[in-house]
Amino acid sequence: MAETPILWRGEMTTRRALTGRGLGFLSPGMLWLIGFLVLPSLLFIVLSFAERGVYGEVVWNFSLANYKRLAGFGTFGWTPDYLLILGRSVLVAFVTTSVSILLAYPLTFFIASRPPRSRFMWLIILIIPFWTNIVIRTYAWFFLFSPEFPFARVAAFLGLIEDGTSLYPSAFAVYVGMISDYLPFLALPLYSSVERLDWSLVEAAQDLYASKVRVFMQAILPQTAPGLTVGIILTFVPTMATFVVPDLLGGAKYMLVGNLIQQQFGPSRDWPFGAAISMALMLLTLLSMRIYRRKGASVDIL
Amino acid sequence: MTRPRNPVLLAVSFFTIAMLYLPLFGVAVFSVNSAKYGWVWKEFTLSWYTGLLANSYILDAAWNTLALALVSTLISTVIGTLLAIGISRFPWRRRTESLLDLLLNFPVVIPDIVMAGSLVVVFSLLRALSGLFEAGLATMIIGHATFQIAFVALVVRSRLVAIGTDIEEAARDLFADNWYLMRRVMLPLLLPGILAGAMLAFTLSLDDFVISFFTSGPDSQTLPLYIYSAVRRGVTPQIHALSTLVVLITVILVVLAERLSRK
Amino acid sequence: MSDQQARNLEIRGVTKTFGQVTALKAVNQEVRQGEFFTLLGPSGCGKTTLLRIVAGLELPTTGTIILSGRDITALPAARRQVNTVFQSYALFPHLSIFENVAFGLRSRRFPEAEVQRRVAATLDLLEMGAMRDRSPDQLSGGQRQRVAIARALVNEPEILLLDEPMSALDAKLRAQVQEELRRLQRRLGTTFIMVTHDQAEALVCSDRIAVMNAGEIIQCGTPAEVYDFPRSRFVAEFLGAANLLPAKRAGGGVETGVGRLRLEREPVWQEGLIAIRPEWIKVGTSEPAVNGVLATVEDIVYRGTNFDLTVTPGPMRVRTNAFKQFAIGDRVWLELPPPELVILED
Repeated sequence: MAETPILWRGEMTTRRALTGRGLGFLSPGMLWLIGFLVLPSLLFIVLSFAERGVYGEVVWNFSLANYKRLAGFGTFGWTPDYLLILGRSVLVAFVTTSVSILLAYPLTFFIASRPPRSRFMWLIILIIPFWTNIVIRTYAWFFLFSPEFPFARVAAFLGLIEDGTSLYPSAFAVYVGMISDYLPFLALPLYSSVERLDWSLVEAAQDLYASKVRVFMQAILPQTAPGLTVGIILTFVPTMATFVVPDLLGGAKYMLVGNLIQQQFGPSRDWPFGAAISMALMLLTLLSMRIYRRKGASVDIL
Repeated sequence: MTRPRNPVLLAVSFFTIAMLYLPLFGVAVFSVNSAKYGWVWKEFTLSWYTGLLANSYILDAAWNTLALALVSTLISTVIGTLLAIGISRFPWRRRTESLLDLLLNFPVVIPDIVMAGSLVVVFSLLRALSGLFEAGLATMIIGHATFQIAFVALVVRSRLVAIGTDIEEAARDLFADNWYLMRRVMLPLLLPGILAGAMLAFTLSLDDFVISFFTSGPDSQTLPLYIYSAVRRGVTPQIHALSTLVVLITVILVVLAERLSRK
Repeated sequence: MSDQQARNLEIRGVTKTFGQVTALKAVNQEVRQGEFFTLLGPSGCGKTTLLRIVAGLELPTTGTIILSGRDITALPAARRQVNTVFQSYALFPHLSIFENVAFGLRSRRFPEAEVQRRVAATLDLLEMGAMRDRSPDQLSGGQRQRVAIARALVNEPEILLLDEPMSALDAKLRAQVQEELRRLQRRLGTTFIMVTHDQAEALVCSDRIAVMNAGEIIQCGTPAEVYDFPRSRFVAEFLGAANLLPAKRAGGGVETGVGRLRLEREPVWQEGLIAIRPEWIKVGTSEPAVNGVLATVEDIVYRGTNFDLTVTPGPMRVRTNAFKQFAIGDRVWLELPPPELVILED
């Protein structure tokens, strides 16, 4: 059977020969991804049930201890600290994504409405932050929020912070940093949908005297849904996991799950616990995306 | 489309663009200010930039960043291209195809910190086998290539799909053998896709912080790592200058890539 | 001319299945040397699959393909003297027009002088000489089609295969290109096999048409034969408009919904269908000698060169020339001449 000849894209060959050649192309990439991605991920799941040795080494004794600890059951009774951090991460990711959507719609509409020649330039203006290293962009806010600069001065004048202190570490600084860092991740995919928007549908809705909200919900949202969904995933997933922004702008005051994981692999050297937190992070991300999908579906029916 | 002409829309757009650029702009301005601290302008200077060249840590970091990006891009472009060809040019069963799809999309959606953490663990185990896995440039290259491969493969595959099967069958119908088909048709047509994939991989490497942060060793500082650790010691005009340089390089790369992909 | 030579291409018992789906059911067909042969049918009827099997881009599940007496079933496209004009034209976008046309010669390592000569001659034949240095995306749809044809013809194939060659052209250009294609084929004397779903195109171009449906060739003949004497309901309806009248054998003719009709020969069935084309029905004011039907005009559509009437009983469609004026509600006599009444076999 395998030796019967087949014609594949104009070439006379056999299925066995084709499979062999195909595997030849596939194997370097597959081996690489399996070796450095799939197996490590599986190992990570196993690791989350192991325990930390005295010197930070991994002891392969399996229990649910790491997950219990994450849920707040420590040696000194129950504390909500870790759960708070997890909850805060979801909140930050949710707020960042929502504000980014609110800002990205006008921005992408603005760019799409430019004449073709200058549209390219505006698009580049959106793409450059997308590709600029996040450390640099966060550092820039860190710098602008220092005590002598107008932002901190105004805040001090309004009595929001003490005179002579910086705007960070604070929740406000984290949100500003997050939104400006991750907004391009939402705006770019959204733009690809907005660019193709069929305005006749929007006009039809306006002709029928629909309110602005209804025009948006019924004519614009369904058409831009594909780009919006990609954008939401590209924004929500990294914001859930970020640690650069809260580290520089939030400090110990506004810790997120990313910092917690980083701690386990850095100073605390508790890899099994780090793995357990990572699992919780993945679970929360998947769960949030699921909820979005459900809501997204109901939006379509509207 | 030239529809929306709403003042609110305009205001929000400019506010957003300001939010994206004000900080970068501020850093750039203060990178040519001779005042070392505070909200004062003294005089224009390029001394912070020339100072970079005298700083051997920064030169090392710049070299490492470049070497990391170049080597990982090279590896991932070759492997990713082969992977894309392997996936889309052979008659795989539906199940195999969806498994391969999953494998390609996995690195795209997995949070980078989780991937970084798992690499740390695996490298620590592999270290027992080979010195190659000592934390350093080599482990960083492996880490970067791991997420780059998927992106290269996705770009090249979409190009392969766009080329379609007709062209290939036409070449066969016109008596092309395997070698002639590859050299005269498939490679020239695929080259823009491969270049675009390599460009993406290179930019991804420059853009990365988390994977580098987790997999780096004592002698393999990169520019983002250097800036990150320097910030914690305090803000200096030299970091402004360094950051501004990196942003300028990004701008050049983005404009180049856009020009290339528009052709 | 011996029988062997005359049979340029023979398709013998060709079956093709894709998994559970049967695309071709034991197709037998011969294509004569130097004729313009068309495979006509709706999409999904298997015509493109059959063409691809002849091209050497698909293997039949069973059956053989014989070209000038030689079994070529197991030979891939690269080893057959058969070239294809693809539906998408599949021009190489990175090569100039000249290099596109030269591709088949260069891949077989023809000497440069011969490549130059043959490509130039073929481009001139298709009046594309001036375009030789352009790239495919600088050409119009019609010009691209010419390049695709030139690229195939330069190899001097025994058979040229054309897969829906007009589908990328607009309607006006199509009519012109059909005639040009016909002239080109006459001039070269090469066997052309074309696949199309457009019956008008098939009628204009072909020496012979094979009508396909559901993986089978159900009728093959000259355009006039297939058009005037469809053997089945499918062919009657697929090629142009036809009035189909359910009929029962009675006396010397048949009993139909429009009355008793005389036929030229006896139907083989007791109950079946009679077909007549709208343009063969004669309309008059007095009762004709045979097969007269008194009818009422229900609807009139003006088509420029003619009127299309819808009449009862039937309802039937009747085509009249533009000089005859009728009004809705007119009572007219129709004549259904016995030679034009086709007895369908199914």
